[in-house]
Amino acid sequence: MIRRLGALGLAIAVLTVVVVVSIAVGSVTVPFAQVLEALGGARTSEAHFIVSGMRVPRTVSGLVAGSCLGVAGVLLQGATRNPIASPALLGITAGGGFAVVVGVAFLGLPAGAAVWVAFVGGAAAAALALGLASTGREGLSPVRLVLSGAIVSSLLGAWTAGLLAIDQRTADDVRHWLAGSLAGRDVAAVGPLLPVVVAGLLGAWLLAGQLDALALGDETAVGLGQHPARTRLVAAGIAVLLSAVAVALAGPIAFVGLAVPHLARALVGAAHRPVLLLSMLLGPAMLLGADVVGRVVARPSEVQAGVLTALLGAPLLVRLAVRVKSPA
Amino acid sequence: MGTSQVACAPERVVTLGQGQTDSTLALGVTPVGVVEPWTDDWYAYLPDEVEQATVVGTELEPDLEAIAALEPDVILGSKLRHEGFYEQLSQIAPTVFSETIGVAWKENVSLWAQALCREEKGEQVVAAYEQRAGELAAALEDTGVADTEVSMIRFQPDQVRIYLTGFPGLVLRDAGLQRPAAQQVEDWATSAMLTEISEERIPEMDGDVIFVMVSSDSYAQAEGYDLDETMTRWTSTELWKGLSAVQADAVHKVNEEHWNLGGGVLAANAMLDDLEAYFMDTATS
Repeated sequence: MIRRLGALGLAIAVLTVVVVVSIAVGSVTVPFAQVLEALGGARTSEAHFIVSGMRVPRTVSGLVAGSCLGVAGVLLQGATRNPIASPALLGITAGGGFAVVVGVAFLGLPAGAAVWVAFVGGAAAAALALGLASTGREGLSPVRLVLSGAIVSSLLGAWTAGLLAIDQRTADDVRHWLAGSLAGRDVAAVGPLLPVVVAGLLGAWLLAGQLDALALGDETAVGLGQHPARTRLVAAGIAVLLSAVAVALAGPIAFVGLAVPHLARALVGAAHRPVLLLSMLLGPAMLLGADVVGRVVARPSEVQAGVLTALLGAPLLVRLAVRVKSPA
Repeated sequence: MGTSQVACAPERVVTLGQGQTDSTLALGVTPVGVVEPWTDDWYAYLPDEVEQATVVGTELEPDLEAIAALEPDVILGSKLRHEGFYEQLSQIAPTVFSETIGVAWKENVSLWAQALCREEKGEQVVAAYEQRAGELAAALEDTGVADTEVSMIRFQPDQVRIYLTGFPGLVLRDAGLQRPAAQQVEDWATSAMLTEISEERIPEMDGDVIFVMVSSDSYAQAEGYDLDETMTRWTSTELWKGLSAVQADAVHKVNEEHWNLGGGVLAANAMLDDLEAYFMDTATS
């Protein structure tokens, strides 16, 4: 218990620091006193426009998207009992991105519908990847899951690139969906998504006990009065929804959903409730951390947060793939 | 690069870059082969003859088979873009490369003129440009607008650029115009031609006048920027609205075709046309 509280306190402290840095640091240097002033009032200063108009919105977007990705990763890893499951590796982000390109750019759906479009695309991609991985005798091994997720992701990526190549104008309109970046986010886009996020996080919380049972094996779970298939479906559905929110807010961001649950488990063990809570805090810490680094490494320009999360996350994937034995 | 022997005067010319196509046309030669423009359609400022040429791939990936099929007398390209193709190209025809493109466009015109055995014509077109630029500079001086600090920017889907030197920077300088402090460079020869910026750096775009290089579709649109998602987003920020050029209503769309994409002597003259129209009209109104 003390360990869990300690980890929770640590996560809160880390996230707080990251949020403060995310508001204080950018590609333009604004003295901290001016940052505070800008947050307080002074409606006309340049510092105010930078801090309140740019850094606060991207910080808010990063908080929401990061939480969604962290929790979605926990749900997917729990539902598939597979340590390598995550929104990006299952093709959910690629599916969401592709669907947004088709729906918003080609079919002319309003930008506000992006999250639902991304949800449908992400669910279809996840179903495809899981279906592909489940074929054959060995069943859902981590390596098969990674392979089929990679296949689905690259297939969708190729389709997206193909569509964009057809129509340059459309390509320009949707490119920022596909960038995996928190830059230039409209804070107004977050509001309508909040009910979805809250519902998703609550649902995840309520599922935690059932996921714990699932972790003991399907037979034990049935013996405990659970319905493994139903739990899996609901968990995957919530995970896809949360991933879709993240895609709608920040575009495809890789590795946050993979890395954060592992970090959380390393800190507090395998029980799902504390892992969920911690992932909800560490997800945004990682995403915003990557965003802040991206703002300062390439001054006067920026590196997209998605590029940096991939840079940080790829070694972790390699480590997991090496360590985790296939059950076959 | 390249000391190839060129038959004088070559009739069948293949150009591998936008600037080579532009300047070859200016020298009175219509290439038999050209690479695609960066846009869907040919640049409006180029003479119609360009459409008679066969398209042989893109500036980054010229189609060697298509070039060979044209049986050219000479091939014009640049070391910057085409160094890796030199061996194969020179087996097809004598190949002449400029070192680079953009800022070196005037020297390059002389190089192309030499390659096409039209040295005199080459000197003529550059001199005509210099004279026009000098006259414009004098006129700007007379009307008291020569101290205008001109900013040049371009919004692209994945990056936003401030132009410092390069082709457009040189033409502005020839016309005697000034640049805002944030866009001045120490050493013209070694400076990066442009800088990519993040949203927080919008204030560095400011100047007495801001020229925004836009696509010809966007240029044809009388008002607003709604054809370009990035531009719409950036220009709706408070930082943009606070720029002195924005407040003074001195933001002016210009066609990227001759401000940025063309890079030859015809494009340079077209830029002078725009500058003259903008500043002399502003000055008299």
